[in-house]
Amino acid sequence: MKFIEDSRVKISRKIFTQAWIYYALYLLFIMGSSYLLGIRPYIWGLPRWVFIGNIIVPVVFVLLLIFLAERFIPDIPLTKDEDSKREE
Amino acid sequence: MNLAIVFFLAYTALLMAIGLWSYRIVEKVPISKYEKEFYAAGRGLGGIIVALVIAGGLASAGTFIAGPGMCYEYGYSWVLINNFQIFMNLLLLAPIGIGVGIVARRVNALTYLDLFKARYQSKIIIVMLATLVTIFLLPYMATQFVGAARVIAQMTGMGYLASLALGSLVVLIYCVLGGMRGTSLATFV
Repeated sequence: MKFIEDSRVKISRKIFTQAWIYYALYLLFIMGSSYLLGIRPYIWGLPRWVFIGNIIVPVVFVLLLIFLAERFIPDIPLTKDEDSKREE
Repeated sequence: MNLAIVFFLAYTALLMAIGLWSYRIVEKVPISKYEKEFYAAGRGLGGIIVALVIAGGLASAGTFIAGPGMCYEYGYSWVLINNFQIFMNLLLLAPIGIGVGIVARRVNALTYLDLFKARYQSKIIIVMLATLVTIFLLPYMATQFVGAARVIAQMTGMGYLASLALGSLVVLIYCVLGGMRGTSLATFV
């Protein structure tokens, strides 16, 4: 019997890959900015690396994620099991 | 009266009202659907509310008390360490969220223990997992209650034990009366 995978699982794996790529980029940005921006006081007396690397960058990434989730993560019905019925 | 106490009392009253309002919804549900309503809010909270509840859940004693404390003690590098966990829920939900959602609906599971029960059909595994969950969640919950009591004591000037009792009582009321619906809405607020 040929195994037919539930199409939702394929989407799930795609989202999983996207999520880890996004997290890797986020880590790269916060680590990079934290190590490269220096310790000179910037706004509110915070060092540059703290304000930009650890406040601005996370906020930008969170807002970007809202946009990306709306754009690239489809709303999958979790109750419709047509694919699984076809398997049987 | 101190403004902080006024805000605290208003917030406490709001949480109690949420508990009672949720109870009125839960008690109207037929007994056959009661379990699903109480433990999973009828599976009808929606993505936005669930996301906000997760965000609210992260606003814990660790975030508001331990995090700033560690930052004060060890310096700004603690902010960087904290930032690693910002997308923790994305990383957890992306690989398992959809799968667990589909399977849980198929086997009518409301908790992870129900899922494991459906998968392994073994009482020993369920007892073992329930014991582990209890052991590891107790210190976590105790930390939250202690943190809440410290904040209440600081805000209102009440004694530590009275703050602990009051904080625990409010949480107990909206959890027991409102189930998941009450808990979610209270966390959202």
